[in-house]
Amino acid sequence: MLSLFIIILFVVSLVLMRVLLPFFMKWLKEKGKIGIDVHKLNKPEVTEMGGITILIVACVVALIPMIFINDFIIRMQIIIFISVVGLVGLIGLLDDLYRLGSKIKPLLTAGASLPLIIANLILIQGGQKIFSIDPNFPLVGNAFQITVLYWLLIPIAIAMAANAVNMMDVVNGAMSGPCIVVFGTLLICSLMKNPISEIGALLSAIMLGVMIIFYKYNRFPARIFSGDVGAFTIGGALAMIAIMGGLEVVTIVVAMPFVVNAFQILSSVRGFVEGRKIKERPSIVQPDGKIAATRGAKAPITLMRLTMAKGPLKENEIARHFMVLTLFCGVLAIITMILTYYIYFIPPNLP
Amino acid sequence: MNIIGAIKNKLKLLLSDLRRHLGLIFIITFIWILLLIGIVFLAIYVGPLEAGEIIYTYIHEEWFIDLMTGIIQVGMAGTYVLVWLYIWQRMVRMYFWRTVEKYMPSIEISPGVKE
Repeated sequence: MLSLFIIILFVVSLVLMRVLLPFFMKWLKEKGKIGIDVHKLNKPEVTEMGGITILIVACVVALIPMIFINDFIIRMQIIIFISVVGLVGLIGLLDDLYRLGSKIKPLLTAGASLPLIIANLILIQGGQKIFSIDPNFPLVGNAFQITVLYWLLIPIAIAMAANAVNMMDVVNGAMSGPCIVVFGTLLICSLMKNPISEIGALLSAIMLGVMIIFYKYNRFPARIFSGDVGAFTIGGALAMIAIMGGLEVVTIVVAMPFVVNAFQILSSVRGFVEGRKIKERPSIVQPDGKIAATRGAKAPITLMRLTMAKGPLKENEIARHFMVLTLFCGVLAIITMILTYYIYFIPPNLP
Repeated sequence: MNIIGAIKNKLKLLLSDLRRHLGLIFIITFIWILLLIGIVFLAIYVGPLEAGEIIYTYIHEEWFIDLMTGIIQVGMAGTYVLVWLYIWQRMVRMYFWRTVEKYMPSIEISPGVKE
């Protein structure tokens, strides 16, 4: 039954995205939501804020299991998923429209985790839960409990995920491509989990379908940009799948390219700074159309700059290299899953 | 036949991309192993840690002992995470500058402090 639902959700999100994205592209263009593709010599105009479609499709398709699966916890998990992802997406939308400050964005996205925290606190009183506060770790199960710390980490996780995905969106397909690998890996890991993480599998299938179609339009040469609304929605969904699906460590491992990119930017510019305000740029477009890493010592060492350390690359090559690195991390994530539930020093405490 | 050819080409491309990023892949693998070692270390040494024996001589309040135990555990785990991130940052920076020096030595370095 679960596998049937996974296939249905995957197909419905694919179809809905395929139908709605061209429609939204046209509508956004009419509304004047146009951006400049700065990494191309002719600086073409591309439709922006296409992430609205990701937000709508993810939330609408998530309603399907809520209607058809007669399980209180799964229904609650989906309501909370829609609430948190909706809030995070809305913050992204506000940023696209009104340009929020670089310090206010992480605070607002962290605040979007409140429905998740409050719902779990209420459910715990009745002996139920929508996520476990004692996650299983590789090799040691849940021998090391972080009960109190876990509550504090939830807002940080959502804010970090949303902003880390946003920071990856540097060239055509650089964010959407690796996200396909991330959600694909999370779907595999949800099915490998013992017992299977139903919510993890259902939500990963939805996001996988959404990202495949979005990548088709966002890859080189891009016809649409996701905008902050899209990046924040994807980041929020990623964090929610990790928390509710009990896939925290696996998500960190598969998203290592996102983590290294965000952490290097934050440590280089010493805090949250708007991308537009970074004085020394990490890359330049050469006369032949290839992108090269600059040698500015103060420019952040982004993942894009790292991939170009051996020489300039074409825009589509950069996105492909991001995907290859994420694919490698996906393999490590699957090994991590095996080390958590199948090979271990201390057995995991299974419900 | 065309499909098999296309798959072969994709695999070749994948391998060539992986070869180009061997340094980064080494860093990612090393950091992943360090993450696993850290988790085992925290589970074996920090998890069962009790502040009680040291503090109990002076203060007999159980809640205070629990609080101190929690603070010590979180402090040690937090320190490990910070060290992990610091090692990661240093490795990435070292890799980047060494690779740039090797493959693009002709380009001038702009003013600033090089890591």
